[in-house]
Amino acid sequence: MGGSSGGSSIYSAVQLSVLTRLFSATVFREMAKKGRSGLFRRLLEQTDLIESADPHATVGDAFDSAFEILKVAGHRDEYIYRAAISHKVLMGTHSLRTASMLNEFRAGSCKADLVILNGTATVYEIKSERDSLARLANQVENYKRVFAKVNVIASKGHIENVLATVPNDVGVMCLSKRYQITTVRDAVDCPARICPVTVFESLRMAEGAAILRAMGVTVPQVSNTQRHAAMRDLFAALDPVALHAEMVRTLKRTRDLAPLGDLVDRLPESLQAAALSVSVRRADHPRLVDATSTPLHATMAWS
Amino acid sequence: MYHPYFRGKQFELITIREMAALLARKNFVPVIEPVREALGGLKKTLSAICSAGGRAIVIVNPYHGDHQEDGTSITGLLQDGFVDADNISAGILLRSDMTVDEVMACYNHHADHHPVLVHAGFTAPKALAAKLENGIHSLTNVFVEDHAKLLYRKHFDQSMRILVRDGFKRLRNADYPAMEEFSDLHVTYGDLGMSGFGDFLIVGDVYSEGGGPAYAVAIHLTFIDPDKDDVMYIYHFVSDTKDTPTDPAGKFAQALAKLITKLDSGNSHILETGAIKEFRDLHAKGHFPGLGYVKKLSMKHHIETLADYIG
Repeated sequence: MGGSSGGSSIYSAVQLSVLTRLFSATVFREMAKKGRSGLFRRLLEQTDLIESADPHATVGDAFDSAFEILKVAGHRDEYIYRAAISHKVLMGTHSLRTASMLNEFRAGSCKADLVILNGTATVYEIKSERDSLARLANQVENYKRVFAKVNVIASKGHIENVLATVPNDVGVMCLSKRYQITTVRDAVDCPARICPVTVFESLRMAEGAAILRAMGVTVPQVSNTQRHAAMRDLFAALDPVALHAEMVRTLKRTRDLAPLGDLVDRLPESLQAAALSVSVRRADHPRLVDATSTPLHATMAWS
Repeated sequence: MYHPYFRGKQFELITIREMAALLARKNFVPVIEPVREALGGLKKTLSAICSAGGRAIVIVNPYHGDHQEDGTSITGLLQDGFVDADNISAGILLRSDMTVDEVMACYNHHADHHPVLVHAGFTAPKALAAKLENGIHSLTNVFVEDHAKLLYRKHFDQSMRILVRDGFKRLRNADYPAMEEFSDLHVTYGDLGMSGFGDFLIVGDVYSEGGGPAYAVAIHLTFIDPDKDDVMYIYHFVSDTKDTPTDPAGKFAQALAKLITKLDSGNSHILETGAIKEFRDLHAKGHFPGLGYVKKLSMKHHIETLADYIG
């Protein structure tokens, strides 16, 4: 890797992919479970982060340095976008106490990258430099069946094609090379167009039942093998706008992120998005925090 | 005799516990590879085997799961809880990355626990047999067939030999054929010079941590066909709905309806075991007890079927 830590270094695709993998769920989970990560150590050896770090640097500092390189580079992956939305929208505009976030949330035949719930439900489809737009039209169609607001967040190079691909009610955002989010077009907030059955298929059974109860609908007593079909029929008859409001209320409660607030506060900034999307056991939180404060040189013993 | 090989996940351990009396009565000896960090379930299971007067082999150096790097807590459990238990053996898993010296060190370390060698990829059988010398006559060797072929097994022909065959070919649930051959080892193990046989039940040797939601639900049931030289086959009853990961209960009902239709056809060859009675009850009530429970019933049925065959 280029020796200087200034912004002018040119990183190869291989080096960028090594840095990206530092933020993989595997590394995060290993650190939580064991307090160390063999994969982190092996990846680190392929970078110059140790040589360029100060002698007292920690694992967390190495993550932050890697993130600094990745966020201005030309080959950013989904994680950088995820982190940008987590920081600038979820924790910037809103907070973990008032808003919640869903990762990889199923919507029809697709999975939404990221959904933020505050007063309404807003989905963000990430199209990084590494992604193709081939699936975008279909994804957006599916998301509109579940969420009131649909946004695409993309790199500058994609923006023109995104605008040509998606309908006018879909919002378009750009993550600049300098890691700034700009809104190219606002999303229209339209809960009336959601499909109640598609919403039901995205939910856990307990969430579906809670929504029905909240809307004054009684679920008939049937055996558990018939319950799904019975609830699906009840959902089909719901008013989309009222359902959307209740879905947001219920999911904010069942997928509450507030319990993660403490962990997020204690992790280096670059890992906060991982904490919000990779679930680890609560009992492992202290081990994870300890791992990130390990002196960098001590990780050479990580296996 | 029969040696079912279990990975010690929750429902595997429950199955062994609930089957402990039958296993003991038939001299069936389960091999258990603990894969979960917490050993409470394993301890309860071994206690159940002891009070039923049965036997078990516990792998002390698991290849899969939480004890992969370090099996000392399993050794500790055997030494603390089952020190006088003649019926609980320490199983030493011989994988490709082990040397003869490592095997012998582990063997000697567990000398108090009637060590059993479980051959699963080891590459130096000749050197190991030479090291074992006189001890080999009283030794039990379990061979996982895919890793220990005829020539390999010959090195241990002075000892008690058990052959384990993986009859279960793991696929995505949606891809299983309606029926396929499982194994004939319960008929042929004697002809192969073996004292016993085993299998990985209806789970297979391939290990997974069990994860994402299933797009299809499958019920696997074994049966022995007397019209075909008592070869064992397996039915895979798979749900029709397989395009979404939702509604496992409804999908279970679909798969179960296929099983009941097959049973009621009168020519399924499926033995009406205690597990089948439970499947019939679930069908009558329209109840889905969870995927782990369904796996448990299939494992119970498999053991009951072999117990009936061996008589």
